[in-house]
This record gives sequence, structure tokens and C-alpha cells, in this order.
Amino acid sequence: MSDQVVLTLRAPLEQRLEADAIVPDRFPALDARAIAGLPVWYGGRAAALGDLFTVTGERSERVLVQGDLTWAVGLGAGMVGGELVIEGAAGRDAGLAMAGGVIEIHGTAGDNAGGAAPGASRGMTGGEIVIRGNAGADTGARMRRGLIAVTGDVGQGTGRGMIAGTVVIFGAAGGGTGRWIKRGSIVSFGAVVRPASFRYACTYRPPHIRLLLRYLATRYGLPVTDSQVAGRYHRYSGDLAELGKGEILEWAGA
Amino acid sequence: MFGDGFQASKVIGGRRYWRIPVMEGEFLVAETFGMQKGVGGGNFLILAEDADSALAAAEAAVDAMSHHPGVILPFPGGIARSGTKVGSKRYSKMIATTNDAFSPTLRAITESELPDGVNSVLEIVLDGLDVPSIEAAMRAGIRAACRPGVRAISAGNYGGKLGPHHFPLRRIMGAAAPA
Repeated sequence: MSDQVVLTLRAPLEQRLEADAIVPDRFPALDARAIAGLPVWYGGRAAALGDLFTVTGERSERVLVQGDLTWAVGLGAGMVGGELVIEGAAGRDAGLAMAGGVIEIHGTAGDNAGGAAPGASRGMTGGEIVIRGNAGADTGARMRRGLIAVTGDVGQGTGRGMIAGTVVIFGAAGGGTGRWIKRGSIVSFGAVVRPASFRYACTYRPPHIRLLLRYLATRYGLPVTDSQVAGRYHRYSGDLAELGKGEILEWAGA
Repeated sequence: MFGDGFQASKVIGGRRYWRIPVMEGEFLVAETFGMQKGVGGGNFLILAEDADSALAAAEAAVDAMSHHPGVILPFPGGIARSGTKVGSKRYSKMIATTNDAFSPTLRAITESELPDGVNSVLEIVLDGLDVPSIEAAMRAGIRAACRPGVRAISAGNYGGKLGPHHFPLRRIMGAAAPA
């Protein structure tokens, strides 16, 4: 048993890699050889994980992946526990429908991080995703529980159709952020384009934001400032075309 | 539920909290927390020349006390303006009524305990996990409250009738008790 399993990309990816075999909670039962033998699809052809990555360590639920994984789809999809750290960019569907554990991405993330599979009613139902960079469209779409924090900008439709949970955006948020959410919180420190079906409620200091930001700073070392922790936030309720119990909290300064 | 369906939960760091909308904004409380027997109702009174001096001293005391471990100041902002005495002189069913002995406007018509020159009194109330925690916080708060415009610090003794714990100020502040 090792402290962690390290997967290092042998050569830059040039085609789409279906990477949903990289799920940390499955690794504690696997030795290095079994991990290298996990089946993946690369460029539409069957391959083994070991064909694309060198594998160091075994039997650990902490997995470190090194390399530019922009072409890798579904990293940590469906994971229920453990820790997946990606040192580089991640492709679309990272943490798709995950239920627990932590994904940390040290780079940009593609579309639909923490989102739902096509046709599914729910995205992630638990766990935490921390993206130290920008994220694509539909980040946290249809999520049911859990936490997503993005230190950069997010694309269109972030939190689209959220049922509950929390998305924290330190940069700007694209159009359609929060559209059709039932419950849940979208916290934004940059410009956010709200749907017209959100209504302003008040400007106040939400006590749970103070707790949440301190947690993000302590647990993940995110660059949270005192003025964000103690600051005031505009609260917009929505989506009023849906249940209307969700919120967009837009930072209004100290 | 008090939130009448408007309450919402939030999981932060693996703990579930409940957000309950209130008139002031939002009340946040952990879903589960430990309990132990504690000590309630530690207090001291700031006797000042005027309301501004009393408030400035009370705020200084709250600042000094609020970071002490093991204690809370249960009143909004940590300050109570409407201190009470136990029981009533007039209404038999009332368990607590206005603290006439420390009310400046009643000095002429009641058995006042206010020294000359005192025109406003504020109270700091604190609850704690144990007696030493309360005493340490009171010590810090009283020291911070001793500022210009404050004539004296006292405490609600309630005739010794309110609970088993007593906090003699002279002992807390390290001075010898009067003979």
C-alpha cells in the first residue's frame, strides 16, 4: 500500500481519452499492475491505462495525475470517495455525477464539471471539486449536493438546473448562470450575468459564506480575502421560473 | 420549524448547517452539536456619566471578551440596556421586571444603588462552559470598560437568589474582599 498512486502521462494526448476508469475509490483494491491494466478508450480504440500513463504506487485512494489532460473526459466520474489531484488541465465531465470525495484540478477544467450525464436528472450528489483555473460551460449543472469552487472564470450555464449544493466562482460567470435552479447557492466574486428570472432580495452579510470561505481557505488554501469573508453580498432569489429557493450571492465589497 | 419552510441547509466541511431567515438577516446554526452543563448569567454593570460613555465602554468590553474561549455574550451586540431584577414589587406573577435600583430616572423615588454622577447604565451578560472561563472573560471586559466617563463597575447580585454561581467582582479582579 502506498501513500498515493501517481499516474504520469507518457506522451501528450492527441485524441479523446475516456478517462472514467480514473476513480480513486476503486484504487485501494488494485495493485500497480491491475491499475495499469484498467481499460480505457483512446481515440475510439480500446487501450489500457498503462499504455498512456506510467503508474507509481498502488492500493491508495489518493490519486495524483500528472500531465495535460484536456483531452481526457470523465476524470473521477461517479466517484464516491478518495482524493483525485490533477496537476494540469482536465477535460470535460470531470467529477460527472460524483457522490463523494475530492477532486482538485490545478489547471483549467472543461465543460460540465460536476454535472450530469446526458439525460440524467442529477449531476454530482456529494463531494467537492476545486478548480484552480477557469472552468467551462455547465459547471455544476443539475448538481444535487456538494461544493464546486473555481478560482477563475466559468462559462455559460454554470449551475444550470441545480437542485441544491454550492458553486463558488472567484472570477466572472458567463450568461445563463443559475438558470432553472431549484435550490442551491451560486456565490460570485466577479461579474455575473443573471437570468431575468432572478429577483433582488437584499444586501447583507450571509453568515454561512463566512464559514464557507474560511473552510475553502483552510482546507484548500484558496486565496480568500478578509473583505470577502466579512463582506456584503447582493442576494438574488431564483430561478422564479422554477421553485425559486435558490440564490445568487454577488459580492458587494466590504 | 421556525423557518416555516423558508429554512435551507448547507453542508460545509462535512457538517450540516441550517440557515433560517430572520428579520435581522439570517440565523445560522449547526444541525448537531454537543451539550454540557454550563454556567449562565454572569454579568457586570457599567455605570457611566452619560449614554455615550456607557456605550463606548460596553463596546470596548465586548471587543475584549468576545474572543475568550468558552464564553458567549447572548445579547445582540453583547450589550443589554434593559437589565432586570428578580420578581416584581407590584405584579406578583412577573418573574423579572425593570431593575429600578440601577435605573437613573428612578433615583429619586426608589432605593437607588447609583452613585452620584451616574446617568446611564449598560449591562454585559455572559454564559460559559465553566466558572474559570466566565471569570477570565469578565476580568478582561471590566478592564476594557474602565475608560473616561465610567464612574463605577457593579453587578446584578439579585440578592443571591438567582442560581448557585456567584462572581464577586473584587475577587475576580484580584482585590481583597471588604471585611
